[in-house]
Amino acid sequence: MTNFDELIKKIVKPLVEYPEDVAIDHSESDRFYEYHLVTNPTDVGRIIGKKGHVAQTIRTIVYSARVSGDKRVRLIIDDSKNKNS
Amino acid sequence: MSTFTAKTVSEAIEKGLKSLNVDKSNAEINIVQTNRKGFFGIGKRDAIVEIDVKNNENASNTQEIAATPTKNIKINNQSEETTETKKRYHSNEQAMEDLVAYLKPIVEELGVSAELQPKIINRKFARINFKTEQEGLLIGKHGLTINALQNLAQIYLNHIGYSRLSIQLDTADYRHRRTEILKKLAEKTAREAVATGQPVYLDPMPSFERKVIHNQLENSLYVNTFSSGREPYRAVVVEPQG
Repeated sequence: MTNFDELIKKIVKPLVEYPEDVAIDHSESDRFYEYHLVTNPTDVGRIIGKKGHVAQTIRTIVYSARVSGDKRVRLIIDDSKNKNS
Repeated sequence: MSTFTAKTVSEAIEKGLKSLNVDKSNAEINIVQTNRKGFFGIGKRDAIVEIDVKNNENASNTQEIAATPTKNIKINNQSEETTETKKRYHSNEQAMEDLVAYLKPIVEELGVSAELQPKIINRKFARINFKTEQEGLLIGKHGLTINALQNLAQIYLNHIGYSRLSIQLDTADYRHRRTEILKKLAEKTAREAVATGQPVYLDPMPSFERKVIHNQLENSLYVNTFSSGREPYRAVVVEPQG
């Protein structure tokens, strides 16, 4: 199975101003493996992009990776304003 | 420090450099006054520059010249322009190298082992061909993955400051095959639209694929095409004419 942490980091790090602030948290629900992407607050906009185009592109690529089992992967971009979404 | 006067800034610099017998990169140029053409000779003034010969042969002074806000400083002769384009071409190559270095680990993480073959077509357009056995995995459903990677590549280029260079990713001649399929689809859809007398909505597709459909049916006498919906769900609509 693809190492999603590495994949997400490799996609995101070169696109941000503060690569060292990129972190990924995990959580698992009964249907999804959730990956929470945390970046420096100034980089959140960069990662989401105009109308979410960048975020959508990243998600498409991440979801295209193979997953073993019947759970699916979900990428959540944490913006500092809304922690519990 | 010597001062030179001429009709234009570039002429003044040239004159100064010649009389001091120094190279441009070896001189510190300070523009005292820019030239003005004036209006019927009123308000006309010459350009004045100060030139100082530098001892250390640092390349930084050329940058200083480039950084001067005056537009006239840029000498408009042919040789200057060609070096400029050469430089840009060179930096495009550098950008492509960076891009390959960015994309390669990503596709590897996706489980695709591929050889990336970058090719700069012209100043504004470049292509990367992925040579791989696992093309299906790279392309994804209806090109979903390769289109997303292409978007990402463009985003990366924009981020590193090459937004004027547009990038296309290709593998195993996929783009060409897809174009042929789209042309056939266009013709088939046109027939359907005429037969039913109803507008036919195609599946959503990216802009460059919609363009193929539009172009194919552009000169058709029987149908009109337009796009509706918002990206990324924007789709071509083929409607019968008249």
